[in-house]
Amino acid sequence: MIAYLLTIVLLLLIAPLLLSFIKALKMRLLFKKPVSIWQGYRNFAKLMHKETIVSEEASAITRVAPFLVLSPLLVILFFLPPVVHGAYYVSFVDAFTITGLIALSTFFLMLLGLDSASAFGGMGSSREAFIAALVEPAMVLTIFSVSMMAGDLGVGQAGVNLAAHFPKEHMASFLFAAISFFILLIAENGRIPVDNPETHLELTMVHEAMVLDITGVYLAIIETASSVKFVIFASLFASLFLPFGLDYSTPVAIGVFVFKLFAIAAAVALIEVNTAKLRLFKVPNLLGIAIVFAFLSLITFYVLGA
Amino acid sequence: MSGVMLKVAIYGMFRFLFDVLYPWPLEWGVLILVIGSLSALIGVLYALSEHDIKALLANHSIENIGIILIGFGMGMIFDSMHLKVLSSFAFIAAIFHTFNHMSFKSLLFMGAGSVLHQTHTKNIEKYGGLIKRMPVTALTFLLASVSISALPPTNGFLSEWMIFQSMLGSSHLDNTSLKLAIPFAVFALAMTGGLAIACFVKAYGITFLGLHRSTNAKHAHEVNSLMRTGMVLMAGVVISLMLFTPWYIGQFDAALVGLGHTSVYARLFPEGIWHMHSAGMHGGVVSPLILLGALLGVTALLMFGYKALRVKERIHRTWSCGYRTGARTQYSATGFAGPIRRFFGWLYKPDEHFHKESIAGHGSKFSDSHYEVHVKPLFETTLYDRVAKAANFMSYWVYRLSHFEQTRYAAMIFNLMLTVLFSYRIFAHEFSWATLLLEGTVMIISIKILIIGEKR
Repeated sequence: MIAYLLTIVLLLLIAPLLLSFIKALKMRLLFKKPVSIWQGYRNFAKLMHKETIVSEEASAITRVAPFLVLSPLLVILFFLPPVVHGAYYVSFVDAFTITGLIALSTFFLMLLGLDSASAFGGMGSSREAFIAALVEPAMVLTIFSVSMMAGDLGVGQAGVNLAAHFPKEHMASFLFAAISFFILLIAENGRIPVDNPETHLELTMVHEAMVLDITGVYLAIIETASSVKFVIFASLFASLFLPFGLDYSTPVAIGVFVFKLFAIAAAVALIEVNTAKLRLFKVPNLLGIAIVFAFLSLITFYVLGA
Repeated sequence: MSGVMLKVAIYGMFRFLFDVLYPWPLEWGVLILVIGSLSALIGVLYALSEHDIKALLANHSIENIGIILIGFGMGMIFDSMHLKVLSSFAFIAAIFHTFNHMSFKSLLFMGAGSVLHQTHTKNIEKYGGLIKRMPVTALTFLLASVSISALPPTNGFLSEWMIFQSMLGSSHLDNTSLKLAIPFAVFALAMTGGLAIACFVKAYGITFLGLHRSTNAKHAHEVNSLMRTGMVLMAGVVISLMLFTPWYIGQFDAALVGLGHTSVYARLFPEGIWHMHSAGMHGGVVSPLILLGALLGVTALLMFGYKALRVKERIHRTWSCGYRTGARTQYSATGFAGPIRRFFGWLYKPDEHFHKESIAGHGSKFSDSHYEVHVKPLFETTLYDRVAKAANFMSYWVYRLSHFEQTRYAAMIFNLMLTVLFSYRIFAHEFSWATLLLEGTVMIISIKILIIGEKR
């Protein structure tokens, strides 16, 4: 139980660090002077002390939506697979619920974008709706195939099962599912081939456009939500597709887990440096690849049993 | 209306299949699954391109009936493969979704009716900012939107979760081609879910959020207390379906047992009402009440924390690139659905009109522009328009017939007699290709000469 609560606190604390780490690594690779990896916390502290300005056109949705964007993601944190062998985990939540909770958070984020009556918010919401609609099938199919290999649909249970018995005999479909999930990780978190989190240019932005009218504590909440979302996806990837290192003693196991998170963040940073952002109408091609890999994973599992 | 009338058809289908056609072949289940998947996808895609709020909701009914049919088709497939437990599970999922759709669709139509009553227009491009004017309508509409988008912890999510679970049960089938085919239906259902979210963000955001887009919307008020009561009561039904899921499922289960199916209630709720298990092996578990409690608890905690911080709040104009926000600078419903309409352009085949007055021959500078897009549904162009064309064609010939002179009538009677005699000979007496050919030729010549005559 202690390990369980400790993991949740750790994930919450590490969330801003991971995003700052990606940024710092990217800047170093581009021969810029990197930002401090503590920048995420500094931004948070700064925003917490600011006053909140609410747009004249905004309604009650703006005052409620930030909380509803964050709370489903916080609830998911409690449902993630364990990182230490024998630790408590929630066995009764399945992957569909987690997909649904993420979609709930996105739903309110899109409403928030439309609420302030600015053209940017609407644009961001429209694009996010487009991307989210295509992410959904890939996500469900990947879940389907992973659940088949893990022998359980519950996320916590699947993580435990995969760690106890790594599906060597289903390696091909496992890899296909991993590729598909990684593309989804990038798409859902708005990283570079899909969305550029760093610019405020209307041609490129999706997520940033929706939160353009939000300030102060509300912005801090939204930023926290996006970092928590990244940490959720990274830790799901770590637990489901890199299921090793649980058997060590508690501190070592947690250390291995954190290392895995940073490795995933580094992979995302490398992809960001090496690829250009796709046009919005090319994004479906990328997500189509994710869908095709998810199908391939299922088909290899059924037909070849590999 | 939509809540009950569409369900009558579903009810009729259920009864007919169970009472009359009971041991159905496997192909029928597959057929219904295919029809359901296509109907769900096409329904939600046309809903997205629709700007008339009532037509939008009606297209969503097409989608939801599709989802119900997916559950129903899965139940039929499992039944003909002798997986009785999974079959009952899928049927319960379909019936539960029928009830959920009844509840939230009625609520949505009530909300749409209230908005229509106040603004006197069905075009959602003319709404906007109604949440400030009509808070009760907006709140109930939001509840129904979340529910129809199948987002947890609402009842819409629960029934869609059950349908997904029954599809994952397809890994128990011992028919490889079916096993490979069902992921496509999973894909269709998941895609439908994603597009439904997009569609309801559009419907809710454009209708209730932002600035009013017309004077009608500016002067809208909350509807009278009778209409409000109706919406609140219907919202109560939605919430009761969400809270008392086990009880409702118990009822559906009892109904299916009455039809000779296996009871699955004990498998769905083995340890009390808190967790709902899937009927398949290694299936998932969902706990609606815990989820609802956790979400409400965390949100309340966050809001309490925000209150405790005592943040200074100021209402002011926010930055929008130096322009003033106005009703015309907002995103419109057409614009919102733009990316999806463009991606599915091959299906929509939109009818676009773009007109601009450019200044001094510049391509990019213009004083006035006008953009209009219409999407005519596929079934409207192929099914309705073609049928109308055929009816027109036939009525033209009937018209010509009724204006013949008497000799032509006599010729027609003669031809009719010839037809009767020939067809008696061919179909009832004896058949040979040679006589068929000969008599056919005679018929054609006599019709040509005697009835049609020369072209005038």
